[in-house]
Amino acid sequence: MTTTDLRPTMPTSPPAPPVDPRLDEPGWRPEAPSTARALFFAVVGTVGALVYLWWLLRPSRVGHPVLYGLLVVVELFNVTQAVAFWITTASGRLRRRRPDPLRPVSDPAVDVFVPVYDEPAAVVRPTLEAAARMRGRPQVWLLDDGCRDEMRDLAASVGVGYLRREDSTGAKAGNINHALARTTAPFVAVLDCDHVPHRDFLATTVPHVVAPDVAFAQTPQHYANADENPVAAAAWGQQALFFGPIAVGKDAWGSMFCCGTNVVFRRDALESVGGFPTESVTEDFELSVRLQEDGWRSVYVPEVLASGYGPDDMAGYVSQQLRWARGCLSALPRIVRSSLPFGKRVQYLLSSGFFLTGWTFLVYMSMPVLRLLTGAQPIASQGADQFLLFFLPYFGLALAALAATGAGAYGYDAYSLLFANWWVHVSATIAVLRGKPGRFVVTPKGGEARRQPRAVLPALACIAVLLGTAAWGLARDTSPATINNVAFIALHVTVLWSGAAPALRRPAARSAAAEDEHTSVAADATAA
Amino acid sequence: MVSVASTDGGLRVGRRAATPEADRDARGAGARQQLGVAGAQWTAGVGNLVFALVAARVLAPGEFAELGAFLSGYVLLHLPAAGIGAGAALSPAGLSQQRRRLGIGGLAIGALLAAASPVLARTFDMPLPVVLALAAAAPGAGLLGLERGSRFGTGGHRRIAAGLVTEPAGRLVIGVVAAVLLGSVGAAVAVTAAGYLSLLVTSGLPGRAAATTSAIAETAVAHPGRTATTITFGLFAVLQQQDLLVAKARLGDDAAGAFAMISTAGGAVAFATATIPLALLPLAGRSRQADRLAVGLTAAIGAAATAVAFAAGQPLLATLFGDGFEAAAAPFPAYVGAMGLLGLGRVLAARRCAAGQHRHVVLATVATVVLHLGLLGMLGTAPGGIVVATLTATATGAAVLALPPAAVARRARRIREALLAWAPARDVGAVAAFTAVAAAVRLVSVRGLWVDEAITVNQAWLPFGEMLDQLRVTDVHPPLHHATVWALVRVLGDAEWVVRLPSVVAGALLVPAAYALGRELYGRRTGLVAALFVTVAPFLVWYSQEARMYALFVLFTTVAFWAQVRAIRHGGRGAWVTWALATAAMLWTQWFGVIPLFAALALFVAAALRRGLPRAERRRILLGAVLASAAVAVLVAPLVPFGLEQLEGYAGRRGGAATTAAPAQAGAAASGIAQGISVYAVGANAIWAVLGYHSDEAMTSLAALWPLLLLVGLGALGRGRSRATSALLLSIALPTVLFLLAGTVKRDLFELRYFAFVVPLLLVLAARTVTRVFPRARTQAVAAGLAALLLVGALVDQQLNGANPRRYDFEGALAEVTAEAGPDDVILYEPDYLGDVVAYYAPGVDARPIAARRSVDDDARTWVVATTRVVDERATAGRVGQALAELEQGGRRVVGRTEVPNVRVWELSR
Repeated sequence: MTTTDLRPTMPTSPPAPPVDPRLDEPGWRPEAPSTARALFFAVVGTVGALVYLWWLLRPSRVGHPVLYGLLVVVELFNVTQAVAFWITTASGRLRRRRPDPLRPVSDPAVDVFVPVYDEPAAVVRPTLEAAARMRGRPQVWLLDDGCRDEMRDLAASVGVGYLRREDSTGAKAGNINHALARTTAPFVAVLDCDHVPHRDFLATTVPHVVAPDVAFAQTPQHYANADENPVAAAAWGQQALFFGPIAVGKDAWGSMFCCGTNVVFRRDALESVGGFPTESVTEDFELSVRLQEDGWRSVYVPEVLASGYGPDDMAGYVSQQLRWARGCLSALPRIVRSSLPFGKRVQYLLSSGFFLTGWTFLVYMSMPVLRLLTGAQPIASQGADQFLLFFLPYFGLALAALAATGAGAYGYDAYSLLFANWWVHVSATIAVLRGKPGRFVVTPKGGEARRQPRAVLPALACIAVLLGTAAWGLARDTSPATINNVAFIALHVTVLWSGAAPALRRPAARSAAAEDEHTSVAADATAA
Repeated sequence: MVSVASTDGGLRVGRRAATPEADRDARGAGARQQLGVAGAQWTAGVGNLVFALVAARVLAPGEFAELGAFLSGYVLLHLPAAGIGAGAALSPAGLSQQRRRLGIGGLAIGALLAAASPVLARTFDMPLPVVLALAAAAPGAGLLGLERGSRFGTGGHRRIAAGLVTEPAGRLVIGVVAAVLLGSVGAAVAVTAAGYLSLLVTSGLPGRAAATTSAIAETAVAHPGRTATTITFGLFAVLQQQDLLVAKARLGDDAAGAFAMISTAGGAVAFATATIPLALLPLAGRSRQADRLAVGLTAAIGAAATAVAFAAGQPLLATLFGDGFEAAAAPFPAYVGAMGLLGLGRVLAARRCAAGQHRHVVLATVATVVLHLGLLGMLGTAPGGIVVATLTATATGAAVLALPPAAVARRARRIREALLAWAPARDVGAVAAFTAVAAAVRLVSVRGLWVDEAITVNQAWLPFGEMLDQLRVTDVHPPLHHATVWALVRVLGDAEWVVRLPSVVAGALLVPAAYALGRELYGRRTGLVAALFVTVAPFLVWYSQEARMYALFVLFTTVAFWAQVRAIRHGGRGAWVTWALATAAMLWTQWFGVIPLFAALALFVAAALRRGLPRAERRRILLGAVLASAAVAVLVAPLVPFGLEQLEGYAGRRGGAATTAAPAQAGAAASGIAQGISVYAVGANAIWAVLGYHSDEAMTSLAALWPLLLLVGLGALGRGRSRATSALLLSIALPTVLFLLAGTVKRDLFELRYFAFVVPLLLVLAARTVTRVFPRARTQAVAAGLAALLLVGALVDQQLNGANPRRYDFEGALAEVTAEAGPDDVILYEPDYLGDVVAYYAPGVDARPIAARRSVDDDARTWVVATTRVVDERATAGRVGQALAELEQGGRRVVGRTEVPNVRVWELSR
């Protein structure tokens, strides 16, 4: 392995013109819901969920035993996730620790790592420039895993350090470890190459990690391109819910995990666990578990201090979600076996377990199909009024809680995108169960300027099956029972279509820079 | 006073009138002329009536009918004379030339009639000589109008009076004798001859006086408004007659006959005032006194005639036309008023024509005639409707003509500006179109009255005080709607469309109200989509076609909510006053108005207490709310004793006092309400709110679509929480929950019609969903159109599907009974609250509750009428079964059975 070491110098190039959305002020601020609201949903929602389960779990409800069993598992999973969501979001204010008094910092040196693999220079340049302009004593390093002279020239032109690896073992984690071994500052910041930091990034985060037991301070991962295309917008909806009430709540439980970018570490914390783990595709998640096991604390700073690009197209989103799902699901056994305190372990399990949600969608979609094709139904003949009486309050509260705690950020588009990509979770689960090793795939930046039906093929296939079944069912009879199941199918088809539709529309190009230097990092979902 | 030809073509009041004494003289002379000519006109009217009455006695019925047909044709021939006469009165210039033209034209028409007389005689079943007499009258018709008009223009009032009196005198003297001798032919010839005699007297024998008149007329310069005046008065003649033609074309024989009575008697008022504008034309605009006299005289005649018609309409009609036309008596005063207004319109038109504002007059008259035609097209299915059309048209015409053109233009501009301030021009057009469609849709009702409506009609026929007393003791509603129907019934009778008119109007006005609300809350597109939805929303259409208070209640509540939003957002006295008035009206219409009032107060508090509101704004809202609420309290205070008495009465009934149980849950079977509050009841109300009432099967299938509601919930995710939506949701959810809670105590309270005011709010919310989900105008239009189509489909099913449990075809069921029932036959009905509806649809038939079956004569043919879906289905079925069994045991047998939606009829006879 050879290393090229270019000491950072003062930036020489003028700042980029403000055409890049990452340079705009973010119009979003993460917040936890008010205590009263959060408590209301936590208490009333939990009661509603328990009442529903109480109704569902009675022996007289058992219809087809297998389907009933499936439904119960799915509902237990969802109720658990929902209740945990309510409790976590309520914890955001209830359990919030008094912030550690920020210690006076006399401008400690911070190594700022910007790992790149094959991203276009136009995406990376604003990040380097902004990083170099941060207040404090940043020593910015461009960590080039792609061995591109273009990157070396870029670093030189911006006046930042440049570290190159000849091989890319361990992907991003290996790249950072490689840099860790060659730098010395007591604090290390990691920025994805598309995340442009705010001038106060270090000034705001470093005081949090000055405390000797704090391993890292994580900040939100803001998608600056959310207004530019529907996939990024929907993905941002999901992100906003996580980095809003959930992350604040997790922080209250001391279980906020590192998200791989926009984060500042203590070097000694990283070194105490041997740096970033390279065997996981979600090295950040795995690292967080190790650090917490080792007694380190994490801090979440609910302030947007860097803006980056979310997935610009469906392939990018699928690629990202596959990586996250595989990484988090593969970490499940590790979390179960870990020596984390109970509360933290539950929080980590909930985060990982979320990536099983796709299975619940599959089960929900299957029920009306099986009912129409075979007549089998999970719940024994009960009046719809009975079901609705117990289900609707729970469902309504779950939606209301999402709407209220998410402050409108989590919308139908976010939900339908998740629903339409149910298969990502299923595929990731199967891959993890088969022990198939994952491969780190860089989330594509820039997006494709063409339709991507292949990225939503499973959703389209689902729609075809659902519609075919509905037609078949209606052709046989038009009884209220059939109509009810067809209505369920219509519901699923609508949500599937809403989620898949952005892939079937020709996207608008994001920016001239991105288009000019577009890299065809099409996600190969299968390979991932 | 003398009149001389003026250089501007009109006739100028003489200079001698300039002094006070001369002015007094002129006033006196003008009054004498007006009264003298009018007196002659009235004398002529009475004379013609006497001739008709004598002829009716002298001639055989068939011959009298022939004479009637001849007289119709005679009147038709003289229709243009009204216009010609008015034109000549304004400006008699070029008299001889006009005589020539009219003479030639009249001869041509006469020749045509004579040539076509064999065909006409066969077609109208008249003797050939009668048709020829009509043809002979043709040359004189136009000339008579011209001569009378020119006499008015040249001041020959005595000759006019003489000519007017000569015609009936001639008819009476010659006509009666000729009728005795020659029958209808003689009478017709005499009428024609009397016309010529009148022409001769009016124009004068060739001599000095006639020459003077001719000389004056020939030297006068034609007034520029003469043609316009001719057209205007011709149009007034059309306005006076076209309702009769529509009645003949659209009504059945009986109804057309009834309207003919109204028209004949009411037309006397127009006849009585016909000469007043003609006498005014030469003087109008130059003598204020003459103007005032003409207007005052016409108004006094119209008002007096209307008062007489109100006070003694029925005996008057009975005297004139005999018994059997009682139904025509109700709209008679309104028609007399309409004819009075028509007379007034003519005077006002004469004034404006003489003042040179003829273009304005022609436009206004044409618009009035067109409006009349349009209204006749919409309402001309019953005599009352035709009367409303005529009254509306004549009142509008008179109002427009009363204003100077500049004022009309100014007001039109102000209205336009106000409308444009309220909405863009294209929206005004669209909302007007939606409103017109809504009115049409609501007017076209295919169902007869049901029980509650019949109760309303029954109450409306009581004297006002007695009606209020009955409402106090037996009813549970405030009196505004009942009072409205009471007044309408007095004016227009109790036809279905009349008693439903307040609901129809309220339902149509809900369209602009929904637009205003949607626009105020979200913007014009949402307003338009909301207006479209309200136009065809089945539930709203249903109650806009019901003679109950729900449509008014919904309108007042919607207006109150709109005003409240404006008051909170912008303030302003108008908004607060509108809120207070609409809220008070809401409470005067329905006691359940306290629920939206409660929601409104909650909204005021929420708006005032919201975070970040400047203190001054908070104070403004709170102060406004307190003052407006106080105003509502004052406005509603008189209602409190009434309400307390109703409450007492209700408690007494609940306590076991024997009264007839009022049906409250018609058609509720599919809702599950009958079994108590349940999810189904909630679902049924939700379906009714959006898609209206449908068969049980359809309701079950629709209820099975509940999973799609989850989509609504998901779709609402992340939509944000605008204040407008929060206010809407509060105003929908709070009342709904309160009614739901009330339903757990008294189950039938959770019934959508009691909180129907949430429906427009829901539709505004739906409209907002459309405009939010589909931001582009084109996709918005497509989505809104598809949603409206869905509503139209639901509307059609609701209106036409006989399986709709809310449809009660008492009209159909009782039509057959009424057609067959004899004087000794009996209707037995069950349950006993069907009494009012049976009385409405079978007014002449002896009807009794089924419990009184033992008092029925054994030989009487009996019909048992029952409805089963109102209240206590099982008990009703049991009582009907028992009654049928008893009647059969008594020797009767069932000989016929009829089943129409929700009503069954058994016919039994020995």
